[in-house]
Amino acid sequence: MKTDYEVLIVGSGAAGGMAAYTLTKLGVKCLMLDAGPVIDFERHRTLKPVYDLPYRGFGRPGRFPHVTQASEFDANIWLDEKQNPYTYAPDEPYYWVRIRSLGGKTTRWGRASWRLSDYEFKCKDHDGHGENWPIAYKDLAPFYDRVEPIFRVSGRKEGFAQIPDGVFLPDESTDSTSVQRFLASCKKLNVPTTKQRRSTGTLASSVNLLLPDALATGNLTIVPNAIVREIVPDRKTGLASKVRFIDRVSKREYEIPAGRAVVVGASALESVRLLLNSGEMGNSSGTLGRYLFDQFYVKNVVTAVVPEAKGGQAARGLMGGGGYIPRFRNLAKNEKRKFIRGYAYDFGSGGTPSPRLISAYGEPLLKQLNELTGTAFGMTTMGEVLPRYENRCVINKEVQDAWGVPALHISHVYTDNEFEMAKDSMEVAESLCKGAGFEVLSKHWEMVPPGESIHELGGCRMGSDPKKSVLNGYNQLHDVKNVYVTDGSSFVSGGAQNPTLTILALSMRAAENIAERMKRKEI
Amino acid sequence: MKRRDWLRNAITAPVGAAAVAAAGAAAQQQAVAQTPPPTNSDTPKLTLTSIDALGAPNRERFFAAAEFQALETLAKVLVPAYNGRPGAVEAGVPEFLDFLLSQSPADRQELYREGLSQLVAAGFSTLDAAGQKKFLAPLEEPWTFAGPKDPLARFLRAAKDDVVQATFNSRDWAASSKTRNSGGTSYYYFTIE
Ligand SMILES: Cc1cc2nc3c(=O)[nH]c(=O)nc-3n(C[C@H](O)[C@H](O)[C@H](O)COP(=O)(O)OP(=O)(O)OC[C@H]3O[C@@H](n4cnc5c(N)ncnc54)[C@H](O)[C@@H]3O)c2cc1C
Repeated sequence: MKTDYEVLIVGSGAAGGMAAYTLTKLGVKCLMLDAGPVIDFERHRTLKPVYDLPYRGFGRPGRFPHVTQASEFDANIWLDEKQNPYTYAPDEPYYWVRIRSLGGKTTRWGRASWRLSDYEFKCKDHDGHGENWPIAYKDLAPFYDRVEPIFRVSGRKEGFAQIPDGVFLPDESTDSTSVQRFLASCKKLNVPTTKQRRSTGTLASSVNLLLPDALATGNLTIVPNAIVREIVPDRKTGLASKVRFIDRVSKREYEIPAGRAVVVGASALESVRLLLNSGEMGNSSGTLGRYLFDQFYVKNVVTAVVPEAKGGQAARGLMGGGGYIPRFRNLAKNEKRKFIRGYAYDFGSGGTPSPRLISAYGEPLLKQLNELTGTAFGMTTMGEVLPRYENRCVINKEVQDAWGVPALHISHVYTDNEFEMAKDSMEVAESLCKGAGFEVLSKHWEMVPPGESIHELGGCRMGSDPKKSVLNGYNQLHDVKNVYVTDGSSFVSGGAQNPTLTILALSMRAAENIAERMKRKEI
Repeated sequence: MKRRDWLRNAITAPVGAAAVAAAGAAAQQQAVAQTPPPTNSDTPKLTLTSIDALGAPNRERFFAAAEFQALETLAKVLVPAYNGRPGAVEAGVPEFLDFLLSQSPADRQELYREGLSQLVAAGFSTLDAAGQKKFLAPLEEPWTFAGPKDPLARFLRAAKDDVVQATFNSRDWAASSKTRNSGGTSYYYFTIE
């Protein structure tokens, strides 16, 4: 039996993968349990044209009521929603997007890699709302510095305080003329812009960038198909002493020692679910499951057309490329708006507008589609969501997954601060496009349902006050000193930046803290 | 390329392969005295063909005959054959949607049934071009995110999206394009145990 591990890690995505990478390099023996199977990228996929799929690319109807990102091509790698149910009130839809396989969602992520700043870490100091994190940007900066090279993040240094610069593969790419026109329009309106910051490579996942190195140390054992259902505390010490898991395939139950410490990195909502199912472990504050948030997305807030590209007439270099607009609202303390905090945009040039945006059918539709081929300029808003006490998840005792593990009930709604921000983002996007001489084809400010941005955060937040938070500044449970939660559930606020780079940095920092404390015999 | 042509190609293509097989058989006859030892390259690599390539499947008959006829007319009006490319009917879209709807969630089925019953009641298939245009006026309204409230207008929007996508993703559409992959090619992931 494999029992020589010192740290048991739950999950193998960004959080679990980085914990394993860091701990094993420090000589700590780790056991990693992941609920899912392993995708073999050679054997498990093949190129196919869409017409060879049984549903012509529509997918089996009703298979993924909440995963709008799933296509018929990749349907088999998303979590089966029937086997893994969760609930919400009928008028509060929540789109929980999950992948259960080795590497978690990092096998599919879009790789946008942004740092948070003290606008997030010290948000309360800035506008009085919510809580500060127990750490500041300077505490995490050295870890971002080490994570970016591992993930080969490319980007351009700009000196913007709201998205601190990092250790980038320099992005020297030139901009197409349509993008140049757009950048000039942004400049006129004092809206900052930069290149995307992205992890690069054909795959930029825990499975190729973290786990191989961790295995190479000889200190890591990975066990897939192990669904952890409960962490069991020792009756006397209160410390985690055992972990119960279920074999995904046979449904047989197992119980193993917890080792000296447990790292929970099952993704934000799953980690909270696991703690709730472990007798509400770590919940003396009553905040476990509370202060859930994410980022709201207004997909295609504006779709515009670059008129000079119509009818296939685009000059070479007119179309293509894109970029990012970081938060620019409420950076000054005295800005008076209908909302606090701010939003960011992704923008891109090229492609053809969706037929549904064209108010025509029949020949006129087909003619217009020909005319508009390759002319589109699109923008998507990503907005900060305020963490609220009322937005929470609890265990729904009536519902269990296919393995008998009690499911989550999620209550998460957006409120006026987000709505006002979304409206503002539509107006600004429209004026930026018009300023560039583009024709606006459609605009709207309807955000996708909570959850759909796949950036679920909070529920197990950090804090210096154990009465108001679950974790301390090192992602360690205030209540149970040998349990760390290192994924997005630990966030106190999230800004508009995609969260994974921060999850990686937090997990690295927490793992080093575990190793130090183990050395000092504090764990 | 028409389905028929495609099938003809599919049938004629293996002639070369058959010749190779025949040569193999001759070689085997010569070697009859000696049983060949098993090789390590015994794992077969077979060229397979998808069901869709066999052409029009039986209609599921989810829709009643009159509903189906209305759907067929609607599909033809929404995406007619144009500029050397097949329309929805040539791409087998009415049959495909009949199948897709047979497996769709109840609210989607309801939307289609209600919508098509209005088309049937209005004799949509027998209307002249002007009459059809009047009926389809909601599709010429500007797009909004929330979409129209009126059930008929909602049905028409859904049908337009579906008919366009089912046409553009069809084998016939791809065959009519210069690059032959206009519907898109991507990695398909198998079920993982
Ligand atoms: C399509 C897509 C695009 C994205 N784009 C971006 C982007 O551009 N930028 C960005 O920052 N983020 C992006 N994300 C989000 C990013 O993938 C996640 O933030 C990140 O993967 C979270 O890491 P994690 O370790 O917390 O969770 P995951 O990566 O989800 O890993 C969790 C792991 O835990 C396992 N697990 C769950 N429950 C249990 C259990 N009970 N027992 C054992 N194991 C369990 C799962 O199998 C999984 O492997 C995207 C996600 C998707 C799907």
